[in-house]
Amino acid sequence: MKILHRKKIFIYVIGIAAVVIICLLEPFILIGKEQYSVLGSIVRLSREERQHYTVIDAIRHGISGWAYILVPIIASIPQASCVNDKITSRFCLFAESRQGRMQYAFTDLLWNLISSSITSLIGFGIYALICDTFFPTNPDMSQIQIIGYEEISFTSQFLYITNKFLYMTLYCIAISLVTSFLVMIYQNLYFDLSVIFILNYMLRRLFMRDLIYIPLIIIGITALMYGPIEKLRSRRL
Amino acid sequence: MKISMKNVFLVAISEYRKWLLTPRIIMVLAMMVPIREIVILPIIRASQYMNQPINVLEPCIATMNSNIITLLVPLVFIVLISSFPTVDGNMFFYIGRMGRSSWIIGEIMSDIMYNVTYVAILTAMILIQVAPYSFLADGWSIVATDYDRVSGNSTGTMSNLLAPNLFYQMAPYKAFALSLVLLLLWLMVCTLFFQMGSVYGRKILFFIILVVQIAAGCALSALDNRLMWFFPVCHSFLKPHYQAYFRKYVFSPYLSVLILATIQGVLIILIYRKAKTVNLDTIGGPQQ
Repeated sequence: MKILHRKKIFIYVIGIAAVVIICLLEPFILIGKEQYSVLGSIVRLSREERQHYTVIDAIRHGISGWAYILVPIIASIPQASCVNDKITSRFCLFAESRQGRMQYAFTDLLWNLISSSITSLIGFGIYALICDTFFPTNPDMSQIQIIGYEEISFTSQFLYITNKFLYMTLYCIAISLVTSFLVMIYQNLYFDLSVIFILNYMLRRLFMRDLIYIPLIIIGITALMYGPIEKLRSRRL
Repeated sequence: MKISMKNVFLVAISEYRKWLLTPRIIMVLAMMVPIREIVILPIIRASQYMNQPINVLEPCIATMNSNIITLLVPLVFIVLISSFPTVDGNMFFYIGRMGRSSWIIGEIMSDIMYNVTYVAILTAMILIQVAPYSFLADGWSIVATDYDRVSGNSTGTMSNLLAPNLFYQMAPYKAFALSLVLLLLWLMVCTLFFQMGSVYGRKILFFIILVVQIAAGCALSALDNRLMWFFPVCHSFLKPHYQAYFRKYVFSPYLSVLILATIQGVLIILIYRKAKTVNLDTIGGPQQ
């Protein structure tokens, strides 16, 4: 199976780049008559103009909107195409006979987890690094005095970013598992990804609430269903 | 073997039926998501803000003249037709019975049918979504012409979607008809180019050339660079053909129609000539 995963390295690289680009292109600052994306504000605004916006602002705006719809789909493509290749090439028969059905299903599950985490975490990590380079931790308050204003500490900033990344990673894992699950039922990658994209779009408001238990429930249900579906699929073969 | 119109129609209908029943057709639904988010919802929000109806054709015109959507529409369409002409065990028998000329003309006819169906589905889906908020007449709505001024919308939402290049220069019926003709001709060029890739056995190379051409053309068009007119994709949207205020062409849309039709003519001749001698084993690729 390693050869199949190695073949997908290119998709991982493209996926990570796509995650960073999507986050950078999200709308961020509105100045006068012009709306700047995160990338636009980095390229076209001066350092002084950017001083009023923090890293957390940039991360909150960057990981929103289209990022919720597209990033989980992008993160699920490498593993979904791998599962599709394994089934259509019948490689899975050899692996299954060597490992046993349940262990094979468990390996698939683990690969899903690793693959989607890698794409999302590296992508968001690069994006966070870019934000950290160009935006300050706290806004410039040298000329304004706000009563009761407290500076954001490094710890609270770290906790916010960790929390956001953890949620997005779990969300990506959940969508990746559902996509692979769909690929196991019906092997047409375009069809499966389109269905997931439409479903993800329809449920976007639910996912945008950042409730951590929602992806956890999806992961739990899909993981429980993985064994029986693998059993059904191999019987159908 | 002579060309038989009956055989041509049989090939076209058989291919069309296969295309229509391919599970990938669901991608048209997925395609509606960006169209809804980028075009339809902002127009509906503007209409609700002004408490005025929109012209039912305005979202269609905005879709056909949007840079991002014009990038996505042909890409999705190419994916939809990527497994055509179908290469299955049956093909060798029916080409043998019908003759290569009838077969390739049937394939080109089925391409026209895919195009018309694809654009008709997109248009119908847009019309269904905006119908409750709209009227049908040959005049632009107040929402299209005045929204940015009335709302003081700083980001210029409506002028990004429906530019003054369109509503100052012509009535919506004409804008819709011209946009539709240009889009259909452009999609037909994409299909024929891809078909040529199939008969020359270089599907992936032709696909890459097409995608690069579309991306480069859309980028140049977004930058309003005059070099864009060298890319056929830029002839497919109506907006850049007109100046914003003066009734003058930047590039005549009728000349664009002529250019796209000429490209099609050349592609059809090349496909027809090659199809007569091509080794059938090299046509197409693996079916997915």
